[in-house]
Amino acid sequence: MIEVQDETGTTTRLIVTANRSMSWKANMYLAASLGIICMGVAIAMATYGLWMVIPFAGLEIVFIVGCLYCTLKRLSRQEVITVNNEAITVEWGYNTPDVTVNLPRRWSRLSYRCKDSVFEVGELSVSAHGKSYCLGGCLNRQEKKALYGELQTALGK
Amino acid sequence: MSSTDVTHHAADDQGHDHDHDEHGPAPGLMRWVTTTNHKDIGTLYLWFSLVMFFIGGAMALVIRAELFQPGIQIVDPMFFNSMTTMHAIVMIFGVVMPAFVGLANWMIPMMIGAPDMALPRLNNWSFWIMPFAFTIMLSTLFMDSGGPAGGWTLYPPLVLQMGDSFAYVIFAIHFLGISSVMGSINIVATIFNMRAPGMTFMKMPMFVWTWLITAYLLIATIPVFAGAVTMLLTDRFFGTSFFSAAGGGDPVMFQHIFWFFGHPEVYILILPAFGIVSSIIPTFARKPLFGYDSMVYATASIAFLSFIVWAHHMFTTGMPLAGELFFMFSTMMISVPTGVKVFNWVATMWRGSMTFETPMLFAIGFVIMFTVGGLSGLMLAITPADIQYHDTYFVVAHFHYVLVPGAVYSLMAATYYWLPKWTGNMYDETLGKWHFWISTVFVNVLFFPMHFVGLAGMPRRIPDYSLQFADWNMIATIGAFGFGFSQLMFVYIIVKCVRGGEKATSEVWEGARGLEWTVASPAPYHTFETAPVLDAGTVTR
Repeated sequence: MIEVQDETGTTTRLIVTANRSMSWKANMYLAASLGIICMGVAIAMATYGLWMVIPFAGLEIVFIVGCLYCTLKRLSRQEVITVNNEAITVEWGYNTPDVTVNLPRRWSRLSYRCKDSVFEVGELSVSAHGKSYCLGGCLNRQEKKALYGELQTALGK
Repeated sequence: MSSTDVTHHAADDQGHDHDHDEHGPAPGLMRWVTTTNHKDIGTLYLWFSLVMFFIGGAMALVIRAELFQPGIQIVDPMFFNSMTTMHAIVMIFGVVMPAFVGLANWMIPMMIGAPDMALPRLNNWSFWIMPFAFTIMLSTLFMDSGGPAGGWTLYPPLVLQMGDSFAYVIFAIHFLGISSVMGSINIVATIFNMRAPGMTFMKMPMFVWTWLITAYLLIATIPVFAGAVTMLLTDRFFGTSFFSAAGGGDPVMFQHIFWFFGHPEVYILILPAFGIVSSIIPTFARKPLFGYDSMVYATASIAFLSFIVWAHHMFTTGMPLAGELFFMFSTMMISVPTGVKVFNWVATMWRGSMTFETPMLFAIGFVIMFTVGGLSGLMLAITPADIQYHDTYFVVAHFHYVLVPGAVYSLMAATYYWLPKWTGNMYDETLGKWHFWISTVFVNVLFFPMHFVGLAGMPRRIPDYSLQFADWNMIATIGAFGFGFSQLMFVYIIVKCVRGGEKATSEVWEGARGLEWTVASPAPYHTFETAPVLDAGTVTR
């Protein structure tokens, strides 16, 4: 997914994220629904004296929440590309950037190559001073083309 | 700024995580130990379940050999009881469940356009726990006290009289439960979070739907089973009296708690089979699945009803009339959504451009023979009738019709259907058809006579029987050996296909639809690393 933020007219920010078919909020509802089912059954059992189901249900709920959190965290990795008059900045990370790359805008070159095969998603990269960085690694062919178009527009300003 | 400036804020590199092997399988045997690839893990599950199928099958042959004639013939009664118990545990937890999980691993990511399962490392653990647990479980057969012999239902007080193997069996059951829960959570997380753009819930293939609902069933019931077996353990070793009448407990309570898990478990064993058959029949009828929406709702209805029918397994323990009526009618209600499914499969075939390749033969065999098992299930739902049939071979005939020509046939159909996609080679169609027809003849020779001896009153789980049951038992044993040995053909066909054969195309089957058929055959080690985009016209089911 690509989100375009045109901040000031001279600065464009593109936020690239991997495909994620459900939001954090919806996942919370999912965890809650599973928790209610498990704990409901366990409490019903406990009322008949079979309380030992409760710890297992509790452990399972904790495990479900942990697994959903890990899944969403992995899917929340972002690539933020900021283009302004001076530089192209690419940041990779979750909530805060793990890696940041600053490229001089006037020395940077954008390229997109894609073989003519349905299994090829193509390679979009930005390079400057002999160093090249792949962009949109999590995107499919159409999305990569769209990102290429957005970056060309931003660099043309 | 005149030069490139790179800042590493954390020990990670650009936008890639390394939870799955980046460039292909690792060389050597360690590939299979350390793999996090969903296809590798699916393959491991499937081979494991095939091996366990022959172990559980060998146990069945011991049982049938003993029952070939009346009288104690080959094994002592204690070992016979161990065989009936272990045969059930192996077939349920070691064959059918892992095989369905294997298919889920292989197919669900490809069907929804995901690169892998949501939690690949967890996936590896969920598989490798199982051989460990089954090694412990099977090793109890070699202990001085013998293996578990109280039946797979583990009813107290009988099960509490088991020898030293008891604790090992409970330990193994806990590990199998952990494996199932881990697999289920992974499937739920994958289906909810990793569908390709455009893959809405009502576009998902039926196999994905049935597995999603199955995962819910597992998540809801496994803690109950874990709690139940732990209470057995504390009753035996820590002086509690949950199920001991002498200490104020109630042994019948265990039956309630066990079947609260056990009946949904029955649907855990059959819902994915419904999904498989719903994939295969449209392909070979060359028509879309009739009544897709009703299939989804019927599956969900069956899952819901499975929680409120458990006491039909225990009518003879005695319960209030209102309870008997409730559980009788709720059980009968399950036939409504199940009937919807059977009707939809038949309607899909109706006036279809049908061809009868091996997967289709197994799928049609499933529809017919599963319905036979379903009808005898309806008979067992009738409380006064059930009181007569209870613990007879009629019950054995019923659940074997549901599980062998039902669940196991669906697994064989799935194997033939997707084998070209997995291996890139077509299997031997002639041998496949022979496998189907020989299996179908023998499976009926094996299980159909059990209806007759059951209705005549032959009790189950007894190594000896009255003379009047001798002829049908002899016929059933012939059927058992015929069916058992015909499965060697299945192994031969699989191995032959893995080793080579006519090359399969991407689509494999003319009428196949869905994302898994858009990738090459054999499916590349990594598929859909970037999500495909589905528009409104894309057919995915």
